[in-house]
This record gives sequence, structure tokens and C-alpha cells, in this order.
Amino acid sequence: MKLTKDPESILISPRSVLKNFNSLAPKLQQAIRDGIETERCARDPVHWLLNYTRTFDEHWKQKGSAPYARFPRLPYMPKLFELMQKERRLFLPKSRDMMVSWSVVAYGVHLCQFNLGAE
Amino acid sequence: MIQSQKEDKVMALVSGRGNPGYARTLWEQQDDFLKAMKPLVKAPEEMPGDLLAWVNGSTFQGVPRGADQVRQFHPTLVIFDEAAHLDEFAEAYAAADPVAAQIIAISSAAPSWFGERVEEAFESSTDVVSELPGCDFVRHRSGIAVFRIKYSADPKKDEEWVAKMRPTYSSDQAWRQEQEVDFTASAGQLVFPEFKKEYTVVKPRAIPPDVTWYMGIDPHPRTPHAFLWMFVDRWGNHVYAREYWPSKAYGRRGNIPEDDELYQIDAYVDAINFLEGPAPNVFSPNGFTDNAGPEQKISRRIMDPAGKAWAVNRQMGKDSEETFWDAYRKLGIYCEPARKDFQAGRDKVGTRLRPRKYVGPASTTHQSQILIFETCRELIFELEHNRYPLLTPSQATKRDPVETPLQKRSHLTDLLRYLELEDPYWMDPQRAAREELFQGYAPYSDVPGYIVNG
Repeated sequence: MKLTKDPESILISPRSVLKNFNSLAPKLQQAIRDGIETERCARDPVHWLLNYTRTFDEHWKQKGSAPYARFPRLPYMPKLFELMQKERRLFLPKSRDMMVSWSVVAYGVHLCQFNLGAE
Repeated sequence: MIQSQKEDKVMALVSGRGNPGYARTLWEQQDDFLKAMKPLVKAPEEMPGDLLAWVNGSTFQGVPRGADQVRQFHPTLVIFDEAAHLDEFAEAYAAADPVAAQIIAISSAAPSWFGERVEEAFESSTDVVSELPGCDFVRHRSGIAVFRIKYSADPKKDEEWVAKMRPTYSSDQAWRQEQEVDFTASAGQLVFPEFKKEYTVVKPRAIPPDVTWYMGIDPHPRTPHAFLWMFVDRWGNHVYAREYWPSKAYGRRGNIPEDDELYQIDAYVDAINFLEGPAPNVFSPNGFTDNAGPEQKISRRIMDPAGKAWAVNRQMGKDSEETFWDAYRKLGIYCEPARKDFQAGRDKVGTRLRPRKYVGPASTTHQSQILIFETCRELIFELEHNRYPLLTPSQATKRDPVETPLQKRSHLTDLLRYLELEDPYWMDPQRAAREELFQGYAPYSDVPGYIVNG
């Protein structure tokens, strides 16, 4: 990997960063991108849930859609995850079919996947 | 760790048997680079249906219902799925609280311990935060955060959706339970459906000096004794003016605490004498009325006859000979045994709770014969919440509805029934003086009454 002569210019100029990044091998670029996205997913469970996994839609045949779909973007999801990350004891009374059970299981899977020894 | 009622549901939430479960789906459907970076210890189909384990040492474990399922672990997170339908949820929650780093309980509505906590939180707090449509946040006094999510939080579920979906529910009750998150929608019938605050609950007002007082006692060996006072005025109103029940649960939701203090009978009698005495000069909950000076004369006291069976003390494994009944009597509180015909008492109360029309010179009002001072919080609470048990669908095919209510928080309504079964009436304090005036006169016929000359 060949960087510019002046290491400080990497910090100063985004163009230099991009130029250097683009000079890397495609596989390495992808590995860096994956690493960054993994880090982002680890920090933000909503980002992971909405962009990197799918749920099973039990009504997919009636809808004529694919059985696995991206998690729907519901306005209460950020607040729900904020509370799950913040509150030690949380009760969630809810109407039917609000994707809340999926969300809570997703929070649990995220906790296991991105933390050591969670149970 | 996730707990659910049935083993099948546990599987469906975790790895699954046949069809992938929720947790497995979320892992499997991830982008490949994430699966590669966060691998499982082995392929999900090679793991038990209730377990998903990662190479990093994390596990997502499902367990079926039962209070002791969680106790043996020290989980980072415990999820209770459909907590309102989970057997022994209260016990399981209590077992999880000291050992788990975090607890999340999710549920649709149904009468339950979970539902009681949720309702308590919303009823007792003035700090309900409703930042998002269809969502409300509140904190229970025990510290539990409650976040309620109704269908209207989903922008797709608009009025058109409601109009289309509502008729598909078997009843209005089912709709309220499933979509409006109404935890009492499918509770059993109310024992006193006739009770309407607007007709029965009144602000305390000066008690006329000529009223006739009645009083009831409901003793119990494990919970604080309950006391209820009512008077009948010259217009025949049955006014419930004072109650005394020294429990931590007084006037609010929840189970009767097991650590409620149990007092000696002489302490109860001291309280009775004080509350009926000349000192109290203010209307307030848990026993106080403005007695305006003179000591109240109680015309009749009744007690649950069970008081004759419960011993005051138990020493060396043996009950003492003295019962609650004897102890009260020894201290000057003489009672008659209450009649315990539940249905007859309930019907009398029901009849007297119905509104009657009063036509005055300026306006027409409706009021029930039974009136309750708003300071009688526990009686009002019990009238609003006493319910018959609900039969399960399979029970309902085999037997008629149950005629006795759930044995929960009914000390004051029991006393209300006992007192109304006595048919309390107004005794004119001047009657004795008038009868003295009529002495020596005999009726002229069999017609009851007197003819007085001059």
C-alpha cells in the first residue's frame, strides 16, 4: 500500500484519503468497507436491523411478495431501540402485528452477535 | 434468554424446528460478510431448536414457562414474550430481577400481573410522554419503564385500515384487547356494573346530627382488618362516609402486600374509638370524617362471622381459645354476625346503586340511594375492579358462568354487601319523646296510628 509522502495531508484532505483508498486492491477496499459497516452495525442496532438483515413475512403468499423482506421502517423503531439500550427493566404493551417481538428478538441477537459472552 | 408460554413458541422465537425461528432468521438473512465476521459455533440446523450459540461465547437460549427457569442462570438479557399470557410471570420476573442485567417483557393485552403494572403506571402517573403518534411512555413507581405501542403508531394503519379490519374481529371486546391494548377488555364481568361514579360518589359534606350509624368489621388472620361506616339520613340515603383499612395497598392497584403490618385487636379498637370520637374534624381518606364535636353513636355493628372461627393467637402450634369475635367484644365492640348470602347482598347493592330521578324546583338530577364520600378510596376502587372470573373457552362449553367473584381485594365491598343486607333504616331520635307524649292513648280501631284530641 502506497500512501502520499506527507502523512498529515491524509488527515487534512479527504480527497487524499479517497485517492489512497481507491489505490488499494478491490478486495482490500471491500474488507475495509465491511469492517466499517460491521463497526457501524455494532454501534447502531437499528442500522443493522434495517440494512443488513431480513425478517420472515408470514403473509408473503397472500401478498405475492418474497418470503424474506427487509425490516419495515416504522417511526417508533428508533425510540424503541433507544429504550431497549437504556432501560434496565422495560415493559412493552403493544397491539398485534407491530413487529415488536421481532424487534426485541433482533435486539437480543444483536447483543449476542456484537458482544462477547452475552447470554 | 427468552421465555415464552409453550415449547413450540420458544422454538419459533429462537432457532426453530423445521421452519427457521426469529433469531435464526435474523442471523441467516444477514449479509455474508457479517455472518463471516460473527459466526455461529456450528450450523443452526445442527443446534437444538431452542438455542443459537456464537463463536464469541454468546448464546441465545429459549426456555418455556415457569418461575424457576431463569433462576439457575445469570443472563445478560431476559425477554418475556407475551408476558400477559405467561403462567407465573410475576414469579418469573421476581426470580429474574436479581440475576439478570436487563429484563424486557413484551405483550399484547390480557388481564394479568403484567397488565396490572402497565395500568397502574398509566393511572398513577401524571408524566405520560406521548412524543410519537400511537406511542406513550411512562415510568411505574417501581422504576419499570413502560412503552405502549398502539396500532396507530404504524402510518399504514389509518382510519381506512381500521374500518376494514374492525369488522373482522369477533367482538368489540376482542378489538379493544388486540388493537387498543385494553388489558381489562376480556376480564370477567364486573360484580357491580351498576356502580357509576357520577351517580354515587359525592364530595364529603357536613353530617347531620340525627343520622343513624351502622358499622361493619371484616377481620382476617393474614391481612389487615377492614372497617366500614355508613349512616342513613332522614331521607333514606345510605351514605358511606368512612372506611379504615391500614394496608399499603389502600386505595390503589396491586396485590395486598405480604409484608402488610398486622395489628393487635386493641390497636384496632383504639383506632375505632378515635375515629368515632369527637377529635376528628376533617374529611380525609383512610378513616377520617369531620365529626363536628360529639361522639358518634353506632346503632348496629356487624362482623363477618368468620371472626368467630379465627383465633387471635397461635402458640406452640395451637390456636388460642379467644377468637377475633371474643377479642372485639372484650374491648367493648359488640357485633351481630353478618349474613353472608352473596347473591342477595350483591343484588341489594346493585338495586341501590341504580340512579333515581330527583325533580327539584330548578333542575332534575339523578342520584343513587347508596352515596359514597369520595374520601372512601378503597371502597370506590373495589367497586370499580371486583370481577367474576372469566371462563376459558373450553370451560364455557361445560359449565355456566361462575357466580362468586374472584377472591381478591374485596374487604370493603364485602362489608358493603353485609351492611346493605341488614336493610339499614333511619331511626328518628325524637321518636322516643313523641311516643311518650302519646302514652295513655289507645287506637280506636285496628288501623295503625293514633288520633290525638286537641
